Amino acid sequence: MEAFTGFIESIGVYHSEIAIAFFVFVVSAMIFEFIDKVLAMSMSIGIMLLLSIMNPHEMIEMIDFNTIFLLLGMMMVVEITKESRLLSLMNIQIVKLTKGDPLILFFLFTLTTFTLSTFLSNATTMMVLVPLTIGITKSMGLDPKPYLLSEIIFSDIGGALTLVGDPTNVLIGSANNFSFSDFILNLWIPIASISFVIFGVLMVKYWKSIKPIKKTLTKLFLNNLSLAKIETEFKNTHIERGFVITTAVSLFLVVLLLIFNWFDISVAYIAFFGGIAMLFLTRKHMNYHKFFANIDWHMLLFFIGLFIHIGVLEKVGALEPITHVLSGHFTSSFELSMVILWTVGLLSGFVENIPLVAMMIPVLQPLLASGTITGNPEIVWYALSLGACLGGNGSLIGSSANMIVAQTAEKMGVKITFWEYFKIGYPITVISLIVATIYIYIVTL
Amino acid sequence: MFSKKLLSSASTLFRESEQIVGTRDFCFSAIKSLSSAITTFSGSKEELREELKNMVYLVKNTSPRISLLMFMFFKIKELFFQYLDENPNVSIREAKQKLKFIIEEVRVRRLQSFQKLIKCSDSVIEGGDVILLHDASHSVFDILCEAQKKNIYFSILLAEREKKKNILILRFLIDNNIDFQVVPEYLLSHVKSNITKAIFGAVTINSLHEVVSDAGTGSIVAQMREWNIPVYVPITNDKFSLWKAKEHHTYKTTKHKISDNLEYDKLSFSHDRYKTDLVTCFITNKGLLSAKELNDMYDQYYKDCNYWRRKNEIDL
Repeated sequence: MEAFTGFIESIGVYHSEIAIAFFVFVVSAMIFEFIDKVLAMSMSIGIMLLLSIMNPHEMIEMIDFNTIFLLLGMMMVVEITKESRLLSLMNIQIVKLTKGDPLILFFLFTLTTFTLSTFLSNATTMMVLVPLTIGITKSMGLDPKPYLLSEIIFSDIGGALTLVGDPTNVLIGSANNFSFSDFILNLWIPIASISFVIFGVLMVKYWKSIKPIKKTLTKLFLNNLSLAKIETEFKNTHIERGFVITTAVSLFLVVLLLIFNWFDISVAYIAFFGGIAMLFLTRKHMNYHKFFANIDWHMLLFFIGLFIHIGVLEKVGALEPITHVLSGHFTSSFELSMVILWTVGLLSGFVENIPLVAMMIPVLQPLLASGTITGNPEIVWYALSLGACLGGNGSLIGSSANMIVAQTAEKMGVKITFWEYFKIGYPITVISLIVATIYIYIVTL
Repeated sequence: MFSKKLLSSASTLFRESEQIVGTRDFCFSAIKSLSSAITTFSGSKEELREELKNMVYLVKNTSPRISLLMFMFFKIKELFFQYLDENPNVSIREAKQKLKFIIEEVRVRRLQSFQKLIKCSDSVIEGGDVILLHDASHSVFDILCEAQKKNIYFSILLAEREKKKNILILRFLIDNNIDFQVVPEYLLSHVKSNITKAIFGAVTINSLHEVVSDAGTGSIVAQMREWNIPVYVPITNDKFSLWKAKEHHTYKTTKHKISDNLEYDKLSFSHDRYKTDLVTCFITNKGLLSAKELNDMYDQYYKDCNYWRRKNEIDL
């Protein structure tokens, strides 16, 4: 026992190196997947507790419960919405509007993806949309790939617009008490501009596949017949009206509260209690066992573990050198924003952006609070948000939603290879970052 | 004219749609889709004429072919081309309007044909009947609904098969408050004494005097005959197939895997075929017919359609 205590004391000088090593181990597990990332985190945390690098009280204080409750709340809202088939019903109505025209289909699917991604997790949005997209396009004799690629790209762009659209925004928003409307007010211009430019690029690239077919009766006929089949298939599935209406109304109220926050309470509470309220209101229709099984506890544990690891790095001073480097080289918010935007943006295509953003938060917070950076410090946070979200378009492994699309599509016979996506995804990421740069430059003038 | 990919997609779409809603409703949905397509079409009159020819080519070359659909499209094309020949100076707008009117006429005629079939089924179901069902035929469903409207009490014995088809049948029975019991299709011998009659749907009658039906129906029909249980099959004459049937069945082989070392090939057939002689009575739009009467009607219809086949280049 004494020998063990002595050992613990002797390695006290190496706490910083040990914390960095464990962080590298965890990030490697995320990238190379040789072990489950939550398991890797649990092992590191357990050992760090054993080595007294932190104690249990400190560990609890490191966890940002605001973020956890916000994520949990949104997961509950999304799960109830999915279970009620409200999203499927909405998608069928949207599909009917296209009247079989490939260009309108392309536009509406892209717009739907963008809109849903602003409020729901990208992964959920894609899980609902991908089978529908492939089903419709294949029945119409269209190539599903342009539609799927556009959806992948716009799910990441849409997710950048709101506090809850992407986990990285949840981290940034929680750390800085940014409200739902703060994100929208500060990001709608760059996101709208990027959307407009990228949609134009995709239209030009895929024009041959998506051009209108008003002079080809056969294709119009097949398209309309496909729509009729999809509508019939949907009508044959059982939908509980009461469930859909209750979900739609309560979802609308939750979203309104998130955006306008009339009672000036934490967004995390709105999301969490909104989820609980929706669960209560739809209790007659929900299978609670299935509901709780479908909550992504793995992701919540991942975030908890991430907060602890970053907290430990902060505690042992491992992040201070990064802060010193940044403060030494950059004095204006524009310069700092550019470094953050492009570094995070280009890296996010290949590295998990959540730990990247989580690590940057305790680096940037003291830097921006020190007053050494001139100009509006808030713009730096939005540059981080844009870099992390838009960077996810860089490659198929850039975000979990991208992987979900590729895997689901492959199961349905549509193979999207890494290089196939990279050839369009990476240039689009660069174009998006250029547009974001122009916006940040104008705002910081 | 069309790529193999487009024909393959169209075939899959037709087949899957037909499986969901049945042959009749699928054909009506198809001509409704044609009508919607015409509304959106923005080409010239000559382009419309050419496109309609292409449409007929498409429905002729999908696999499997659906005779009612082909019949309706041939009729639409014939009437429209006749109109264009008689009125060469009509505008594209007028031509489109006329085409939509023709489509509606063809639809109504076919609907009337089905309504006649339902009327002819009046005496088929009697009070107290226990009727065996096996497929999700909408013609059969309509006959049952008609009997229900007349307050004739009957119950259903459902020969259980694959889940997808069962759900369609069960949904119909539950939504219409029809009493039913379910028995696995391979254990009907245990309940044969309860069955008073069996009604099965049909996709078509072919030139070999065979009923083409859902997969699995053939063996059940044979069992019913063995046990002297009357078998009824509703079918309108516009569902008769217009071409010479192949002797062999079309099938595909799919691989199935139970475990790492247990893999096997399975033959899958899209339809079943059995001789019309096995059927006690055909319920048609021309009345209740025996197998021989139906065969004679088919032969006459096939001969009358020589003109159609020549004109539309269908294999004789």
